[in-house]
Amino acid sequence: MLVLVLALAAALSVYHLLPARAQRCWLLLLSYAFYAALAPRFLPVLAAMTLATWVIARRLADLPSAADAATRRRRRGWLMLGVAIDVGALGALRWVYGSGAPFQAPFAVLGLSFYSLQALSYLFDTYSGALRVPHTFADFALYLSYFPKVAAGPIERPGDFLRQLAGARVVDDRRLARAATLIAVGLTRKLVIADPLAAQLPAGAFTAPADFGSLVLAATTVGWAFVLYNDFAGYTGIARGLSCLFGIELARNFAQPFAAGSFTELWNRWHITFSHWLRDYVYLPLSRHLLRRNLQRGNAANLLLPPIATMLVCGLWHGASAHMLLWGGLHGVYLVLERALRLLRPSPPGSAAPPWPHAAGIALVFGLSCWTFIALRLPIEQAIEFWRQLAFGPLGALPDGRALLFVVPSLWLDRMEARHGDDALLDAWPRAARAAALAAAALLWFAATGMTAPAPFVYQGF
Amino acid sequence: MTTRSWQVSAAALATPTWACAILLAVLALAEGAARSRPVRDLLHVPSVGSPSRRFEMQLDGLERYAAARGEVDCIVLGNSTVLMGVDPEALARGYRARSGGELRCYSFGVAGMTASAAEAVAAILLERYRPELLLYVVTARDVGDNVDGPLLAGTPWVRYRRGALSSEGWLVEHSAAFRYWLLYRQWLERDRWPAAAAATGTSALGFHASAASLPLSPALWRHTVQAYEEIARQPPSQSEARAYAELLATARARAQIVVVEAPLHPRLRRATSRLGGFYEQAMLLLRRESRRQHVPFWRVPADGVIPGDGWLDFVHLNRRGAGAFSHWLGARLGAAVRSGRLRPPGAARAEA
Repeated sequence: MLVLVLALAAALSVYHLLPARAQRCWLLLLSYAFYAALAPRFLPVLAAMTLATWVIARRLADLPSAADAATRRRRRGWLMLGVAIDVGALGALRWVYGSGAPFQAPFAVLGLSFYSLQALSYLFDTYSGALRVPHTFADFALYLSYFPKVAAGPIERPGDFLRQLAGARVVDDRRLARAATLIAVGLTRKLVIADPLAAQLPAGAFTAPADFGSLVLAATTVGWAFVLYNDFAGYTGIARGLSCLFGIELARNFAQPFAAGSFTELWNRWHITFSHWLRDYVYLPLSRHLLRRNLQRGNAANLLLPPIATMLVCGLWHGASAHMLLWGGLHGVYLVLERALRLLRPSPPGSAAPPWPHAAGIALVFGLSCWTFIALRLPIEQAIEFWRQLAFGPLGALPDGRALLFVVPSLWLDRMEARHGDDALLDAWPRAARAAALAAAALLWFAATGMTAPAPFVYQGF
Repeated sequence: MTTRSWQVSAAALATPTWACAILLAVLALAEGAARSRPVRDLLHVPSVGSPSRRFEMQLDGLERYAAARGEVDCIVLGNSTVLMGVDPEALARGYRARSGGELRCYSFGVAGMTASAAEAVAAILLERYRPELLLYVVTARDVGDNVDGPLLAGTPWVRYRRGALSSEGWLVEHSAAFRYWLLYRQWLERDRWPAAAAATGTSALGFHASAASLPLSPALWRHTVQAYEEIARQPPSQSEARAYAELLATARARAQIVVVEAPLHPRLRRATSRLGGFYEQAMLLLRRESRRQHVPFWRVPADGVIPGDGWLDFVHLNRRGAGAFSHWLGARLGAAVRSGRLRPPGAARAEA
């Protein structure tokens, strides 16, 4: 840990001593060195995908979009080739190195699931003409490999990222405070909440649910949702905070997902950069295509297909296995039902939702998403066994109340983030209180981990 | 003209500086509290990060004993047969009866401790407390292969004490607050905390007396024989045998050492000869190594020492048996001192 901190301090010092253009080269060098340190044998995959996507995107950019039909066909051909390369590499390498159970055995090709989506974004945005920021191959290579986000996102859009590379990347007092807040909250979520809470979950609950009562299984399901959330949100916070130190803003990935009152809202609060990627590159194009064929409001195909297809892609991205498809498919069904309900009982525009139905909605969405997480975590047969025991097993003993020690701070952090923003959590506090909070956090990080290395981030498995 | 990308003012560093100051103050307070007697008396026995809570309790007990008495003449080291079978008071009585001298012993029994763990522990205890006599009570299990026991030698603090630098070892050695933190973090481990928070159950001399006497039932017999058969399937472990030799060498360089074979129920002793000869084979190995290093190796007479109702089970002694065995051991020590085969423990200190 100390070595990492020292290495980061050295990298940061050099970075801020360099002129802007050299800073980008330094970041690229750092990013490749970081990747090589973590997964050296897959560095050629990153480099090859970068090169192939760049070459194809240049071809797309060189061919005018408003040209004749033959040129448009050529453009589409190049796009298809690019998509085939990026998706093919992801699929093939997942097939070779993926275990189908990413929560147990991480996917060996570090970050491929994340940078392949960003490579696709780059192709799509170049094809559509949305990407108008001047940039070089080195900038594009940095966009894919930027070290704070290469392992597990956030999944950045090329326009946002490249625009920042082109502009001034100043770190002032305000940005430093934001970086410190994001890193501190991220470390707290990971070290003080996610890892100890994961250790609290009964070891055999997922593998041998028959040995446990349904109360413990229910608590385990909820506990695991909090583990997953805090682990991933913690990672994202640290990544965003680190990036802030280099003057580059990364997108927000979580916004109090467990306060979502509907599944549409949930996907705007959970893994936001991924769900927005799916929205923009799968859901909306498919929906637009279907609406072009039938513009009616009750268009059944448009009601059913886009959510289901989008969520199946979401499941497939998590792993090419039946249980991931089931997880994605279930979320697709929830979204369809929600949309159908809205069509049947539309709420008048401008009317505020009454509090009780809203609270019930939060409880329902939270409960169902926790229940559905079982399909994300376990192969189908085991998931069914778990659900069966959860529904029909004996109530059994009460779950261990110690887990609440970790759930309550997670909810408190969510509440604070909702009030003040995730990067300005303590801004309203007086300096002494902020310093005390920082000291307490540092003490808790140490107390939670001690001398042991923290567990790997869950989403490094994808 | 280029703009500097780092535009952080000194004022921005005020909060982290204050945080560091608060952190240091809190740590200093915690350390002070952890070292103070009133706070320590309120808390459980601290941890040194080892896998054996009994080891930590024994360390704490020995530390308190040494602090109260000033010095320790003799440490009795071994596994649960020492924990439950060596009563230092009875041992002192036996010694006094035969030699007329006093003997201040601490019974350092740790359940499951094999020779490799005992070797690491002995090195630390001999260096820290400088006893003049080490009594190492052995069983065949101590040099068994694949024997399940606490891996004390791998504990960072144990390794640190033996020269392997590590941050955790250093912190355990120098920070009382850290030792308490190592203990209280176990509160979150549902399987470990009950044992961590349990009372030591031992006397101030490290002896865990058991008033019970289990019925030596056929079921218990089958269980015991099964456990011994598990060990008997393997030859004695080479690494444990090496550790045993090292233990003798280390102890001889710093103190007098006597190896004592732990009492075994006569029925089990007879049965062990049928278990592939493992028991005898292991004891032979231990005796040979002791002879090679000129270390006395004592065996308890098969009959006459442990009364029939002195057994907790086929391996462990209850209070009555422990009293008898310890008295016999003390008397044997006294006899050895009287005959001049051992220097009287404590004599050198008395002269000094």
